[in-house]
Amino acid sequence: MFLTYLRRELTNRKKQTVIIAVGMALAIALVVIVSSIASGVQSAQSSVLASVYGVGTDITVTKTETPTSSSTGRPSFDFGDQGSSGSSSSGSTDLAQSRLAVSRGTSTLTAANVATVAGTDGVAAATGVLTLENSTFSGQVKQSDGSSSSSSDGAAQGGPPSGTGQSSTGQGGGGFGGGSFSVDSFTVTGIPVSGDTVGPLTSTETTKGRTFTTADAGKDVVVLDAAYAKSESKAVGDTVSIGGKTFDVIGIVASTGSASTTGSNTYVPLDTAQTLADLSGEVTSVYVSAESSSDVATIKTALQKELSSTTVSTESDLASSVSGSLATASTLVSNLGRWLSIVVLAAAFLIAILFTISGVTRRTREFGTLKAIGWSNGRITRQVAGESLVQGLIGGVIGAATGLVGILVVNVIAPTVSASAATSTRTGPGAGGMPGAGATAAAGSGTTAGAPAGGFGGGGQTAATTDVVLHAPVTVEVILLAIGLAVLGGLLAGALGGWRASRLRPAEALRSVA
Amino acid sequence: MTTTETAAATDGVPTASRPVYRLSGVTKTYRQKNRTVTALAGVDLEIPQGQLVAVQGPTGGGKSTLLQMLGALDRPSSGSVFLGDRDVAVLGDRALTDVRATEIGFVFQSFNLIPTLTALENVETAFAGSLANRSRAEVRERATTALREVGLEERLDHLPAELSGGQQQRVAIARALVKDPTVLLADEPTGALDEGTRDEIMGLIERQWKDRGLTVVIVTHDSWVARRAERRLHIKQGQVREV
Repeated sequence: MFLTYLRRELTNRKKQTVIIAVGMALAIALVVIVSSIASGVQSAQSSVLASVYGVGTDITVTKTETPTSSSTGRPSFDFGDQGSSGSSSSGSTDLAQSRLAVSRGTSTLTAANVATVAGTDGVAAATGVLTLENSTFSGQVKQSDGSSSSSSDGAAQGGPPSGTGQSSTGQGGGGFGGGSFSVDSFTVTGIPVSGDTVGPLTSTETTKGRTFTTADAGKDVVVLDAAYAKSESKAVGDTVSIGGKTFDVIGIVASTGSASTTGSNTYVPLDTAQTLADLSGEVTSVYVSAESSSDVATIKTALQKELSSTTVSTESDLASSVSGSLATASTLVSNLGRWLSIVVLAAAFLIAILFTISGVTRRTREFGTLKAIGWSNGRITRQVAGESLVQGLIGGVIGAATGLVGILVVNVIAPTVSASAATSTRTGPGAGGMPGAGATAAAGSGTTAGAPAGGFGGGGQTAATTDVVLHAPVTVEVILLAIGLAVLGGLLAGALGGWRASRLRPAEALRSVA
Repeated sequence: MTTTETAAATDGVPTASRPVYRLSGVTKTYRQKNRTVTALAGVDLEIPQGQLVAVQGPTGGGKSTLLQMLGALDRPSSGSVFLGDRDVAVLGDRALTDVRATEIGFVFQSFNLIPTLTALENVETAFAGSLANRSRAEVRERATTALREVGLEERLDHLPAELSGGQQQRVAIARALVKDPTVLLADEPTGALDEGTRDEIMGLIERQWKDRGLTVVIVTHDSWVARRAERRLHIKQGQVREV
């Protein structure tokens, strides 16, 4: 009788069933889609971090540069000796110089620091890497009749070539009027050749050639990021100029995650990078993997104590450094999406409850009659709750199906969001001016734009920008959540409706007939 | 009636004429807009088994309240209402529900069928309380038989909306009788029917009364219906008197 009565009520009171089911379906679909996108955003954030810090990195240790009166922190080019860096002909001077230095805002750690990190309790592996910035200045400066243009300190006075950008803002072009030059920069990361289990290359795959072996130690060999290699039209066997030296391209790597680029444009053996940058034994970051994820907080505290002048970041600290449209998506999902879901869900629950209670009120005579002929309160409550539960479940199933279609649409569209994972937070000096000169700054390849951003006085932050394809994964948890919420909504409405029905006194119910 | 007299009556009366109902000093009051309304005022009444009783009276005189007491739908404010050997006035909710499920058949003026259930399924709803554990086959067979007895074997799968008023009341009578109750209580059973159908329904109730030896209490405004009863009661201002 329970099932017969339930089936008859649902099919013969279609309007109520449809309204409750549709309301519930809308809410459940929204919850499914928002949950799935939130999961996708989270996965994208992890992917971005993995592309920068490698897979399995629990903690990074870096050191922020301490500004001093004698240090501007940014690369400078010295053209005082034109014999070595430029040539003059027919009234113009050709300039070309390459410079390899630590990224602005970053300071170095010593080998002893790396050993300290590796020796800390709970640390499974620690890898030191040296991230450098290769800046190449090349172009032609037209000589004028002015007296200062050929002076050795002309660059400092005129501003542009020094790249310091602090004293040149708003000054006239002077002797550089009509000149043209370009600045090209890309990131160079020196990594140990021993194939460590943690570090930038752990989140990459070799698409061409090979990565480093121990035999490459000290050699001028380079592995390129696939996106950078494409933008520079480089292949295995070609050569690349780094810090004025020629490197053989031995391999090309691509990100294994959804990020379009890896953490650096180029990778060279650590000792080669250290020699070239005159930073023997020094590194800019230490990548740490913990023996257990539960040890991360303890290790962080220990490292902060041991290496007081360094910045120790855990994965969760790093997640907050992800910016760009991915961060916007994350904010949108976590704020708007979540609240919208809650509001729509609450509305759906309310609709279900109100319709159920109104249905009970409309069926007062029916329930009164059933009580008069001997139905217990419990049986009537179960009947009402059963009806609501099934209405909720129908809504849940339709909602889950609609949500899955929504997820499918998101995955078919596969929106691309950009994300920047900041590795340093120091802001550089103000913008530098390039008066009178046509200047172009090519910062890495198309999508790997951020790393050398400080070259011309922009923000001093060192960041890796990458494009991530946002996927909305379908998980069992999401489906269970949808069904669970539908059941909860149905039960809630059924419990309240049943409670109201059970409170009806049979005599009062019959009196309403009269 | 005193306790001694009640005991003597219970022991001395042959089973065939033993009272089904014994009401003693039954008073029912309601609070209504800051005043107390007395619906029944110290009613003493006995209804023997197998009697067909008609209850008449003006609107607001206490007919419906009396029916609620007899039907175990409500408890009196004071006094006792014995149905057989159980005092409805002191029974708990669960026991009252079971009394309604097993001993009382109700027929209402507006038929009160469940609109979404077929005639057969409506009759099957009567299996409640301790009767609810009957097998599905037995329930179906007894419901089908009950509908056949009221002449609706051709209308088993019809919804109430597809039946005439008289046919709906027949389904309601089948629902009331399918569980073989001790008492049939009818609240204006012909009030919503035309004269011809009224005669049919009264004929059906009388036949069941005689065939089953039922105790039947009919509340009615219709004097023609009341005259068909063995015993007529008139209730006014909460007081019951024989007519």
